[in-house]
Amino acid sequence: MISLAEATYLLCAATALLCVILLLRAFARSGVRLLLWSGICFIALALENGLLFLDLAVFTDVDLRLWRNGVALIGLLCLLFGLIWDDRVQR
Amino acid sequence: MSFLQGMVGMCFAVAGLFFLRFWRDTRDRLFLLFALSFWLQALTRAGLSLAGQSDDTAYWYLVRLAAFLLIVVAIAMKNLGDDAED
Amino acid sequence: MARAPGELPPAVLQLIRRHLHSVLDVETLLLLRSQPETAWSASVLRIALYITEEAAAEHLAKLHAGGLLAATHDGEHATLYRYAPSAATARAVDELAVVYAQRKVRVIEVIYSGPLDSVRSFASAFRLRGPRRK
Repeated sequence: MISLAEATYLLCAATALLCVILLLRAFARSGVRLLLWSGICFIALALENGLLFLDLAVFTDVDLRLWRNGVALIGLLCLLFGLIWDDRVQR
Repeated sequence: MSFLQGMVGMCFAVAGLFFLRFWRDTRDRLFLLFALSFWLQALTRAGLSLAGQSDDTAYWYLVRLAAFLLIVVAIAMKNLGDDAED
Repeated sequence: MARAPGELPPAVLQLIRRHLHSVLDVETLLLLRSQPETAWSASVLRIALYITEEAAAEHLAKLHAGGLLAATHDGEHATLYRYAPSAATARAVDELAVVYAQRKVRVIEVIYSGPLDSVRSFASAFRLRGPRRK
């Protein structure tokens, strides 16, 4: 049986995936690049939570912290890049 | 490792600030909820780093759960009759 | 107030950011403001602004949803709109009217300037049923 913590991480991963679907769908429709960067960020967050679940529930002998944080960091940097730099009007 | 986690927390906090600004600009509550969500994530990373604990102890996962629930609420509110803003 | 030459008054900027996302929004708002006792329907607005009745209805509904217009129904399915902002907003719209008359290009630039487009796209991405048509 999974613990409450593990269930939480699955839930978080699922929510992040929902965001990914909505953001990338909108990106496909409109081409607004911020949506792409946000979508990538939420993919990373979904992966991070997925890895967290695996870390605790499945691969208990391996420490996945480097991967988890690394993935999350890359995703967040993509988001910040989109917010700060890639700010042009797209009309 | 703490450093990496700290950087992640910092990124969440900064992104949260952007969402706060978007809320100021558009008055769309979705952004306020996203800002709060991201700051709770930042808080989670900060708390874990400072306490040196791993992720399934000491109830930090509840803070993370709250963060993601805020996003769910934001999406729900966006779809349940928020027709004034885009 | 010391301000860079290209800058519009902050109240006007805020008004644009919150409610006016196209030139037609501005034209509609100022037109209704110019005749505050008149109740406008989409079909009348269509003629005044040379747009389709659909577009007219959308702009009117949007300004109404933003709290700038009051709506009444005349019993035949047509909604009538009147200029009816709050006092603070009315002042901002008055400023807008002045600025729009003198510096239309700058106002249009602000309306169509960058981040807000992508920001609003982000928010509307979370509509499960897809974006509202502008």
